[in-house]
Amino acid sequence: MKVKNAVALVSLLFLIIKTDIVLGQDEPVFADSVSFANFLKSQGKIPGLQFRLVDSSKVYILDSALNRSLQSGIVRDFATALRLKDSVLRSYEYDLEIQYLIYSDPNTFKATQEYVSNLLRNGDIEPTVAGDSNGKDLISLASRNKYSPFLKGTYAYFSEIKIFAVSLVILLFFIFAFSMILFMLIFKARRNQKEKLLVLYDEQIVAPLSEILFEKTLEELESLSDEELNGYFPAKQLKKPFYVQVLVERILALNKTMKGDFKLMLKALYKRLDLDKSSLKKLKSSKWDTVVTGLVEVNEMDLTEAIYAVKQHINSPNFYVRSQAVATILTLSDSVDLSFLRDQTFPLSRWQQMNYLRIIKFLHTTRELHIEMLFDSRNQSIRLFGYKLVRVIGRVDLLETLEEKSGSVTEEEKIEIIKTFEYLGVPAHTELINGSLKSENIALVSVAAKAAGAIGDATSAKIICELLNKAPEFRLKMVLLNSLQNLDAAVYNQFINESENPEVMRISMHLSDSLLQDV
Amino acid sequence: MKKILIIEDDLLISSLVQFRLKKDGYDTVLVKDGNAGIIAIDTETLDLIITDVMIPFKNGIEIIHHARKTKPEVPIIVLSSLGEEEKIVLEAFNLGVSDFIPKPFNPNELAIRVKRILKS
Repeated sequence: MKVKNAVALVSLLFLIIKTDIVLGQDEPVFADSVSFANFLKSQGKIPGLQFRLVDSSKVYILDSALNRSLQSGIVRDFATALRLKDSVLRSYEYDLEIQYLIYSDPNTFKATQEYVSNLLRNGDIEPTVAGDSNGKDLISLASRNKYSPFLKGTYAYFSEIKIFAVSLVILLFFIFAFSMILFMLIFKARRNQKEKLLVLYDEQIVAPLSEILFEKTLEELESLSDEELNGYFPAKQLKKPFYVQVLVERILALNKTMKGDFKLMLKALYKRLDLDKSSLKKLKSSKWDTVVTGLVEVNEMDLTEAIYAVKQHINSPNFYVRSQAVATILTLSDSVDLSFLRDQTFPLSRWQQMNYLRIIKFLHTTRELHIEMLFDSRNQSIRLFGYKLVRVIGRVDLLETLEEKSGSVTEEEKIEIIKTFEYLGVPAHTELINGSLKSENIALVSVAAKAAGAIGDATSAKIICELLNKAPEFRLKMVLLNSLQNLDAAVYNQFINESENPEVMRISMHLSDSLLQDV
Repeated sequence: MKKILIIEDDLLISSLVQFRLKKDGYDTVLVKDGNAGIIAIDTETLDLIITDVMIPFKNGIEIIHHARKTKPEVPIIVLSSLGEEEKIVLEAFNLGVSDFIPKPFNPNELAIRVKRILKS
């Protein structure tokens, strides 16, 4: 159906372009009645057209003198009819009219003119030009000629702006559709070719990889000459980017799946095949995804020589690049401190914090990371991450530093520091907690009250009682009462006994219920 | 020659395992999915089955179920990631698999375990 429509459309377009001859159907053949009458006079007999004389009462008149040339009072040519009319007028002084008969039916002058015009237009009769008395007949002759525009072919086409515009749109549509089809075909062909190559390269790679991993030792692999190595992985193939890509992917996949000496073998092979250069090259790419791929390769293959290049991406504006760069530096560097992380200007997302935390948690036992550096960062999210690190990896030795810092930090940071104090459960840093209990920030007060329940002192209990007397909102009141109960049961009981607030009594009952106290 | 069926969708791993086992003199049958695994269990005379858990069409547990019904005498080693659901691993053990080797793994260690199982 679409093909049919397209063919019709193309045919129409062709007709629009090619039709340069148009008949002038609406052009009058005769300029006026006089020229028509002259034409009839000069033309003689016209097929289907006859004349006869009638008087005003439409009674047919027969001239006895001309009776021989008449058949039932009808004549075939207009000149004869005119002569007959003159003859009758001269002989009998009888005024007559000429009646026009088209196929024996009487018709008006105008209808006859139209009939003759049609005959001329259709070429059914040839006009007879008589002498030089045909000044007006030239119009008739001209009208008979087929219409031919002044501008022909291409010029005529371009002179009609609407047709040109429509044609241009149609042409552009076809070009676009054709390009899309061509693009899809090329894309599909390339993809198919790539899939075939992938299978082929996989087959080519598996055998030599297996042979090297199981037949050679690490020392043997490292001492292989280039020629020997090319026996496994041909130099010609190693020049093909897709082959190198497949090889890198397969070695990385194996490195993840295998353990023991095989990992070392794979890393040695990676370097022997100069695949590390391909990874380093990726780090210089302008495409962020290529850079991330390069960073992953550097990370997985322990390419420590790439640390300098990786550091260039630590403060990258791209989230994924800088996340992977930091993770790579943390994993690779033996002597890494966290100064590079301290100097990051972009805020750390929760995902990044989790990712870095996982690596640092794994590394901190074997490396000196200098977490305290993070406390001095200009980036608040980094400082907060530092406080969390102290908590998660249990650096009790840094609590003193945190206490010192707490005087000059934001309330959000105070919350994190107090959580760290509470988590590590060292009852020696109550100054910050007691100070925070007096804050206007309800979130900070709530966290401080909760911490006070675990590591607070007598001053904390006193402040909590003062806060309770100020009738805080329900949730805070509940936290305060719970903390007071945990901190000092005697003070808590005294407060409950003295309190006349029914809400306090209800919370107290809730807290003393063994089933509900943690709800 | 002892015949071992390897059901693993990762061509690289299966080829490496096959290479390592052939080196020890075993005959191997390599299939990439669960359906082919079932057919191989039904048609081949096997001495050992090594299967992954996450494989196309039928998972490792279904393979183990089938093997236990049709060839209860053939020992099975499950070769799979620890990241996969603990429930599945436990189920595999409950079905009576002989051994479980978590990925990442050492192919030499796998070869030793295969040798031990086939000897016993």
